[in-house]
Amino acid sequence: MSSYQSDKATSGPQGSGSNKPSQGWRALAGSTRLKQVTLVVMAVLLLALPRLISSGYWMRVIDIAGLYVMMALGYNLMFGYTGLFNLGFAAYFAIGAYTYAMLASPLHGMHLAFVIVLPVAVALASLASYLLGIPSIRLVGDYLGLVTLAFAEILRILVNNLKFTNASYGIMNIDPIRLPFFALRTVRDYYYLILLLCVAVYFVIKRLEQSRIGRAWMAIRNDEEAATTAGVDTRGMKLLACAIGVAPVGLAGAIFASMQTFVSPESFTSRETWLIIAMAIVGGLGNADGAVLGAILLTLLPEPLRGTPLESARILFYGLLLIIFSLFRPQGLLPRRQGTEKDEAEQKI
Amino acid sequence: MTTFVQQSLNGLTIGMIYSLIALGYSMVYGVLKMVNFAHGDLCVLGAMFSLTLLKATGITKGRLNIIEVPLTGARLLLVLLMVFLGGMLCSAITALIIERFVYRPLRKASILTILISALGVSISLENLMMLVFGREMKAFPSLLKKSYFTILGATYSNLQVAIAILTVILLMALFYLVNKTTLGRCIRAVAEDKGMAGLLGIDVNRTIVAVFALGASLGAVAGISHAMYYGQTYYLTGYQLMILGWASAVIGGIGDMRGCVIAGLLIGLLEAVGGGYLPILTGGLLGADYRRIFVFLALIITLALKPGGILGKPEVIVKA
Repeated sequence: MSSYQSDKATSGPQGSGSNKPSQGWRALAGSTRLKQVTLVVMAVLLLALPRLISSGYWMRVIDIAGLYVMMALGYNLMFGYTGLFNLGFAAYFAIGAYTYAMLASPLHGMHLAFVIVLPVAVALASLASYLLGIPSIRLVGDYLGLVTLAFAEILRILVNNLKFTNASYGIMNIDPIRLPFFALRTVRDYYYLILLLCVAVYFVIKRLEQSRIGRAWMAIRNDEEAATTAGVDTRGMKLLACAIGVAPVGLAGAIFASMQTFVSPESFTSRETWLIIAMAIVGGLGNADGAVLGAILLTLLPEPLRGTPLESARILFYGLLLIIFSLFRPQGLLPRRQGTEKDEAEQKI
Repeated sequence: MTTFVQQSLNGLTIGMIYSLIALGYSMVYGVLKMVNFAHGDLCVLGAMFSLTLLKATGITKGRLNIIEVPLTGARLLLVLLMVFLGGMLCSAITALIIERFVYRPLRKASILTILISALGVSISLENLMMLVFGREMKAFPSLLKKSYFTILGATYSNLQVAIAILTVILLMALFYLVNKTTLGRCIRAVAEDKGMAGLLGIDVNRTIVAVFALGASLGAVAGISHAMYYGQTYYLTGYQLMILGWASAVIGGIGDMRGCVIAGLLIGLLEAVGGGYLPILTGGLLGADYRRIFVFLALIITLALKPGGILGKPEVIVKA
């Protein structure tokens, strides 16, 4: 009985959307003055950040944090909104990076412009996830996790051995992103591109969350059978989540390849996947703001450890965070705000 | 033909190791309905700990862990006992700590929270092993004085025979335990229905503890055998063992012990025979590095066509 009620509260046509004004631009217009001021201050700070930070090293760390923001947002969409457990996110990161690297580097003698390569990288990542979803999407929880993990392993073995991807040597001298008048060369140049893309990904995902599609996803997460009964095309919606959820990951991969100018299979191990999962969990699943917070926190916090003996305990830090949050705060730092308070107490993830 | 026999024998040996790991997954899944991601790492922990024991007792020396005085007779038996029991004890105790402080408080949490905690345990354990035992690949001595014999033109080592015999004995003991003893009846009852088992007076917590200890001990044996077979151990090996053991358990039908054993052997065969023939069939274009691809493809195909595994029941894991 209670699950039926909670489902009605989140998936019904007048569900979550009516409880709170929709977020995004409309929320900005309708929100309090305090919120507007905060947003403006944040925007100014973000735009001026490269002027405030002199060290190129920290600028790179911030760029990387931005890439993780995109990936955590994608993870949040798949796992937090739709409840699809994916253990192979590193694979889509690799697809994005390798697509860019192969189409814009001396390896195959191709130097396509980034306006062509970026969409191709994103499309290939989405396509791979969609195709993998077709046979496996009906599996529940951990089984879907295992399939995605197996897929990531297959891809890693291929990339590590095929001549086509230059095997374990990796690909060097990848082209920087060239705009009509100048090329992005330094981490400072990349900062603005990454910031722009983060904001774009954030708003697209926020809009999706508020849309019919987003409500369908959350209905599936809360109770798949009830969602089917309510007329949601669960299979189609889950496949859509598979395709859209990895798009920002492919995008981040492509930017990563052009920024580093070098990719090798080393950069796309399962460790990346665990890191993205930890970010989404710590931030708060099912909440895009949480994903952003988690990605920034978890990239920046371990940085002071670099160079100290504790540096090699970095992964332990992420692992312990996952355990601690599972035990004491499964809803993350910023829990999702959909549904009633009762719902939140009932489904703590 | 010789290649086929050779690779089949190798595949069966490694398949036995996978069976032992898969049983650990399967039994824990049976009682808790969760995948213990850390199981592969517990296997490696057993191997790492027994290697430390070997070093501490001065049986192996140097960075390459060479055995200077060949082990024979009663001394060999004692050393083997120390290595296996030490490894099993270390893995089992770690498993119990994890169960008590992470999985038990989460028993009523949502399945996704439990999975995330298991993932956290797994990566913490890997990193801890790296910090405690070191980040380099470690040579692992096979303890037995190597001897080989020929079956149908294929060479088979005494180590492979020993692993096979050990596994068969352990499997028989485990099947006897689960099917014929009181503890086994409790395990089966808890796997069937925890609440009902508790009402009937079975100590559910104690049963779950027993399952964790059993699974981890079997895993430690598998981890040590694996290390001896390949002559090395590495803190990240657990990740590979995790995927292969989990895949075996799923292909066999998770919760089904017979299925796990069969699937483990099949995966071993697939890996070895596939890996052996691939370079021959493609004229060296695709090397044995691709052998695991067969395993993962087999997993994806099994889950697509027969999601309950080759012997399992389908309704547990598929929705709608």
